[in-house]
Amino acid sequence: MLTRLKGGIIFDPARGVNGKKKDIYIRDGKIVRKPPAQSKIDSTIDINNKIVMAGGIDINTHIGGGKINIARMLVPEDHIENTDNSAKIKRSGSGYFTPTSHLLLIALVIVTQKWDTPVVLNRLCYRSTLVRPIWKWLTHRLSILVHTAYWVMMIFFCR
Amino acid sequence: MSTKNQTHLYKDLACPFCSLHCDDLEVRNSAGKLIVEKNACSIATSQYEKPGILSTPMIFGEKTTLDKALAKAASILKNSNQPLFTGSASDVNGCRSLMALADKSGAIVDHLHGDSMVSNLRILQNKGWITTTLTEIKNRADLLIFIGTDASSRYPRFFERLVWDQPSLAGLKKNKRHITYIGDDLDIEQGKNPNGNKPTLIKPNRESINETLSILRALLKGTKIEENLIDSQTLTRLRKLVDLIRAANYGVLIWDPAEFSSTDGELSVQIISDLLRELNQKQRFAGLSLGGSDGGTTFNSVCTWQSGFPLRVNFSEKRPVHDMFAYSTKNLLNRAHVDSLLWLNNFDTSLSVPRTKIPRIMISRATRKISENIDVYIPIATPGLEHKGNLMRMDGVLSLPLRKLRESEHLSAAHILDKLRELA
Repeated sequence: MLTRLKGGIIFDPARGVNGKKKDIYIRDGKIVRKPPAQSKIDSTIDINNKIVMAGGIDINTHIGGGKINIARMLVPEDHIENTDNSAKIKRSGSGYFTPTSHLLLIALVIVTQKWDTPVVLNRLCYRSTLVRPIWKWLTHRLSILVHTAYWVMMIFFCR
Repeated sequence: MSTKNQTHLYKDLACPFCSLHCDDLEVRNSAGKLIVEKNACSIATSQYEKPGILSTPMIFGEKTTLDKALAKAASILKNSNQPLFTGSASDVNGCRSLMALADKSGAIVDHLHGDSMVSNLRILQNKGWITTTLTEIKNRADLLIFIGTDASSRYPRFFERLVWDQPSLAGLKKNKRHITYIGDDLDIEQGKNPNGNKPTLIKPNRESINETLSILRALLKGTKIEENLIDSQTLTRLRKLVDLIRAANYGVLIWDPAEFSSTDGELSVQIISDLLRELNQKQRFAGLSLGGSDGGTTFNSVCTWQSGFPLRVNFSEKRPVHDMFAYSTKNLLNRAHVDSLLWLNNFDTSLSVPRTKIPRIMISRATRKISENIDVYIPIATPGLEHKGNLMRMDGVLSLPLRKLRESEHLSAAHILDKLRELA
């Protein structure tokens, strides 16, 4: 059974795929390479412009739920005082206590990038059992630093 | 799954055609023709059974390709200093795509029902209110007071689904429910209890509904009412209503901002909001606002979680600017503050694009006759009939999933708006 997921935007940090629009093919429950042109596709699922990423991320958000939206509507002053301009990588938005979802894509990119940094650093580590814990401590701290710097750059320099 | 040449009966469907979104409909697809079989009201039946028209994009009434229509629409938006997006009647994904396009094009966003929704929103922002959900009403309400509306005219199954339906929790017996209407020109037929009890009707005589409500508030506070202030029959009925209110376990005040006058509507909502606050000091009372059909509740929600503000928002300064009065469609068109208009309408084809001389882009459910004065027309598929989607219910607490019942050659609103955004 061959399934095609059509038109999704893929984030795969392990392979350096960063927001590329590409189809995904699944055969018998496993992701496979693009099959030859004449293959019979049993099912095509249109995921146009939807974000695709590896699972294992539990998304439980209160982005657009009824309650937080009521909160936003109740404090227009919070949004008037804290508006955020649109830029190349983000939409405009507003709110400090009850922010909008305009930074969501950035948060997503940061989440995926954050886990990439220690992976890359750890590829360079020693096999020695003595040095390994020290190296682990160091790369963990470095990844937090890189992550924080990235976040700061995104918020303050990309307006 | 192709449904083109088969007959298939779909059950437990959520209906997109009013903000009650009844979810027990049964509709049959008979070779592409939809036939309602169970649980649909007159509005739903007429909308579901409309033939699926195959229409093509048009430029000034001349048939054209989708690519050309999109290119023309994109150029209108690019050359426009202040676009206005209105109608905005679509499902969640359609609204999301519209907001993304508005952010990019620097447009003002409003909704078809903006004028009435603003009455509510102003009060919510300035005073707050206490509201309830449809399920709470169904399970708990023993006194329902309809203010300025009868609910059944615009929401035909309101009473069938929420009032006289068998409650499922809290053990409320439906013969214990009292129904009262306050207002003029109301159809009180559905308010009749199946056990025979008639609803109470308080019809303001010379007074406006605001005066009647204010006197009710004063009576509840124990204020002395002068004899000549109000018609004596109305006063007697109001005193009886005070007794009913005091005896209620869980009372609900129900209104529809679209049915208040455009000038005094906000005041009516304010009085209701104050009444609710006062009543809740000693007992339990909550409000329910009707309205929000044609994706009104949906659009308001999407606009709020993405821009931070409910209707109406302007993106021309690259950030959301909120002004409920300046950015009304009527005001903007009358004062020529906008130089292009994009009309989005997924549902009711009897509605027409506002009349104006500025360039108009019409992205709408397929209709046969398109005026040659419309610059660009692009037909779209209907959510809940021709593609999946979601719509938020009138009480704003949940969204109903919509299903695809038949194939269509047209794309969804979200698809078209996303393509337009890539070009604009």
